[in-house]
Amino acid sequence: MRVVAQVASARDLDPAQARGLVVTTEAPADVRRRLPAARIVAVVARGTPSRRLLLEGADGVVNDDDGYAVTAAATAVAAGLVVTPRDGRSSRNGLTGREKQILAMIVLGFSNRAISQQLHVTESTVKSHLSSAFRKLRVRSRNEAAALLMDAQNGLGLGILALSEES
Amino acid sequence: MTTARGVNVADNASVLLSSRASVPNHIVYRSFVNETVILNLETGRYHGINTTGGRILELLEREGTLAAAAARLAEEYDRTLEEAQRHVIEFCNELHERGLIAVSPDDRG
Repeated sequence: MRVVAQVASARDLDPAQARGLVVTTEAPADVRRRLPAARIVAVVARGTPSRRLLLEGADGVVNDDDGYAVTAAATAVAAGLVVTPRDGRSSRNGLTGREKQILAMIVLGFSNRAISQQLHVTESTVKSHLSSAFRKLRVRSRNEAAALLMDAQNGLGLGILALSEES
Repeated sequence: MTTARGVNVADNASVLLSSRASVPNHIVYRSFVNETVILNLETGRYHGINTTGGRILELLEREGTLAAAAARLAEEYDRTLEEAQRHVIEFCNELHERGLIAVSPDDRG
């Protein structure tokens, strides 16, 4: 397997060379369409959900501000491994137990007031936890958070809200 | 009126028709068109039950004892009392085993 392009557009690649490795800033789905057999490393802005990129056809994901990781990721993907950034959305997100509880209730459509009554905290405390959780999930609203959590295919899935290992 | 699996009622003497069932503080649930979702805030786990299960849960909270909930359920679903009682006990056994309801003797006399 040989490298046919690095951190550059794969637009001009000859499909006949499609068995190589492509490191690209283009959408993986576009590259995959043109080069169905290639190994693809997607170079993306930090925070871009890795899971979606993998589903679109990437074999590896690397942040564009991490130059050293590009070479490492390319080598790993060329060797047949799947690579994602440690801080990607699909990895551990740092949510606290309380944030998980509140998000779990948000998913079910509970209001801030109902959550505050259930958890015996003030509404402003609920809002504070939510702001922190939204920041960690990189979403801006409860609807966006709920959509992200309920989408097990392209989002995070509800499993990340589990509070105990055995659950 | 079905539950996920059969439970031998005799094996769990703590859940009786005369028992009172309640939803603990760490359990919340919400009914939707096709199902009711129960959330255990201590584990972060969701549990899905069908609409009949959701109705039984509501009746348990409102009526108190399993017997009263079963009587109401028999009326609403046009089933015999015995059939409704069996379903309510099986359902409560499952929920109790999963820690989703609290069961206590009916101490109202």
